[in-house]
Order: sequence, then structure tokens, then C-alpha cells
Amino acid sequence: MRTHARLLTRLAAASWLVGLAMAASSCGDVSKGELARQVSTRASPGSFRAAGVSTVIERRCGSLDCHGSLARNMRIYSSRGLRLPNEAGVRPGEGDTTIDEITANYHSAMTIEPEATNAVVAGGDPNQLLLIKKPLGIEKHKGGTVFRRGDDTERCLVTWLTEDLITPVDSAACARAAVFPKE
Amino acid sequence: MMPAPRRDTSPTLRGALALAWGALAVTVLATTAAVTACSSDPVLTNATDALGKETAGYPVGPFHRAGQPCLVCHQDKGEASDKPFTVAGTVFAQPARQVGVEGAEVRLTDADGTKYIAKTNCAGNFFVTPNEWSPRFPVLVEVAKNNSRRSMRSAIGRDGSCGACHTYELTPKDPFSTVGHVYLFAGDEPGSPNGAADCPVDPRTPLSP
Repeated sequence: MRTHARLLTRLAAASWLVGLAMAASSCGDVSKGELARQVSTRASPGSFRAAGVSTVIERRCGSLDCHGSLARNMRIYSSRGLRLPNEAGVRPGEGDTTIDEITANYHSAMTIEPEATNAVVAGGDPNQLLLIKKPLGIEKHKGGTVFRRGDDTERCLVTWLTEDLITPVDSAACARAAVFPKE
Repeated sequence: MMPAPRRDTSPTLRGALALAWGALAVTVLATTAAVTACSSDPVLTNATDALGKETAGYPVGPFHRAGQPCLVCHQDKGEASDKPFTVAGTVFAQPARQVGVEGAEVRLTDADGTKYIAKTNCAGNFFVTPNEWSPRFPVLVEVAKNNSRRSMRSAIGRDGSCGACHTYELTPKDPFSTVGHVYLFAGDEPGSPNGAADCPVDPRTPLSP
């Protein structure tokens, strides 16, 4: 009996040691003071609003006969087009684009193809996205070619999708792209 | 002389042959029906059906279907493909009634900066044919008559029909995704509240009070 008790005690002690060793080895991967996850500055919701990216998409894509339509997968809300249902009864052509509508536009732009967008946010090439390929006319687009390589609209969107601390969104290009040249 | 080979015309074989021919005919008919159905555009068909029939007293022509989306029919694949339009619509006098304004200017500017001015007829309708002007969208638009002028805040993205976004109904079913008809004045047109008296059709649409 005493032999069995000693054996059990040794086994328990050994399992504790193994457990502690495994715990120690799993914690060893993270250095002190470092975050375990990557943080991207690309395609941020803050820049989408503040740098005027939403305004460009509203004006260039969001008219009622294009993406300001409930029939579109990528729906764009704006004061000049489709309105997010609201209790105030604000209708197309009235007031300003609301913060809720800008947020909805951000979700529309980011979720049209989630995996590809994730890849771009993680450092991939923004030119692989439908958000860029369709208006450039590279991918079939019912609205045809909306902007060209290197113009203000393309520059606004691409710099937002690739924004980092050194190269911010080209907000000047966004401001120019939000106004039709002949307006 | 060799005897001609005898054809087996047993009832069983004849039945089987008839069945096979029948099956072949059904297959051919089904394939034809499927091909025919697939070659039409169900979206366009639905849009055309939604317009309804012609209204009595408004014969087919430049005065008919005021307020409706013209390019549903007046396009390459539409029912009026022999008379295609690039931009077309109707200008009414005021928001609460549908009375066409005669002689209003519809001033259009396209993405390249080219301009075109169309004029409305006595039903309020205007239309631009591809020979007259083929714009590159987006297009900016304003309507004007005498000293009254209204500009649309947003650009036309790609649909040449005003009625595609500006609904025909006086009260839009979904107020957040559609806008009411195009109008120029706050109230009735000064001097002609019911439109042009010498118009071949009633300038008021059937929906108008």
C-alpha cells in the first residue's frame, strides 16, 4: 500500500512539473512589452471620414441610379442619394450625410469582398480589389470607367487603402475628386 | 433475286418508336422554350410591364407617358428601340400636382464639359436622341423657364431617364431611396395652372389632382 501511495505521489509531482514546463514554454513566445497582434493603419474608418474618402465615394459612385440604390451589393448612402432609414424623415437631397451613413459606407466598401480586403489591410496590393478594378474598367462594371490611373479619385482611394504613418491619405486629391470638374 | 428484308412492324416496336419520337419532340420544344426565355432580359421585361398600358387620350408619341422612365423602352433593347434616347424625362410645374411645363429648358452638362439644351413640349416631356447628343456620364442638369431655375444637387450617374429616380407616384413608396417628380416652381405655373391650353393632350397626368 505504501509503495502505491509513493508511486501516486511521484506521478502527481511529475505531471505538475510537465504542466509548469508547458505553461512556461507557451508564454515564452511573447516578449515583454510587445503586442501579440499586428495593427494596421491602412483603410482606417477615421481617415475614411476625416480625409474625405466617403465624400468621394458618395459623389462618384452614390447617385440614386448607381450605387445609391437598394439593388446594389455595394450600397452608398449620402445626402444627395440613398438615405439610411431615419426617424427624422431626412430624404434624398436634404441635409448632410450623417455619421451613421458614413459608417454604413465604410462597411459597404470594406465588406464587398472581405478576404481580399483583409489581405490589403495586412499589406497586400490594393489594385487587386474590385473597389479599384471596377471603376478603372479592368473588371466588368455596369457604370463603365469612372476614374483613370493616377487621377484624383484613384489617388484618394489607393492612398487610403495603403495609408501608413509616413504616407497619409492624399486628402487634397480627395477634396478635388469630390467636385465634378464642370460643376 | 434476293427478297427484300422484312420490316418488323410488331406493335411493341411501333410503340417504342412512337415513345422515342415523342420524347425527342418534347426535348426539342423544351430546349427551344428555354433558349427563348434565356435570351430575354427579365429585369427589362419587369420594368416594361411595370409601366402599364398606354392611357386613353394620350396616343403613342412625344406627349405620352409623362413622368415615366422613358429609356425603359427607348433604348437598344427596349420595345421602342427604333427611337432610342440618351436622356429624356418630364418637367412638371409643382410638387403636389403633375402638370407639364411647356418650353422649359433642360440644360445638361456631361463629364467632358459638353453642353446640350433640350426644350419640353406641352406635356412637359423632353427627349434627346443619340444623333443630337451622346453624353459621357456623369451628367449635371438644371431646368429653367423665364426667371425660375432649379439645379439638381447630384449628378446623373448613368441612367438617362429622369423617371428612373424621380418616381411617377405623387407619394413615393420608399421615401429614403426615391425622390418625387421633377418640378420647376413652388406652386402652379404662373398664368397657366393647368398647362398649355392648346396642347393635343391634357398636360395633367392621370394621377394628378
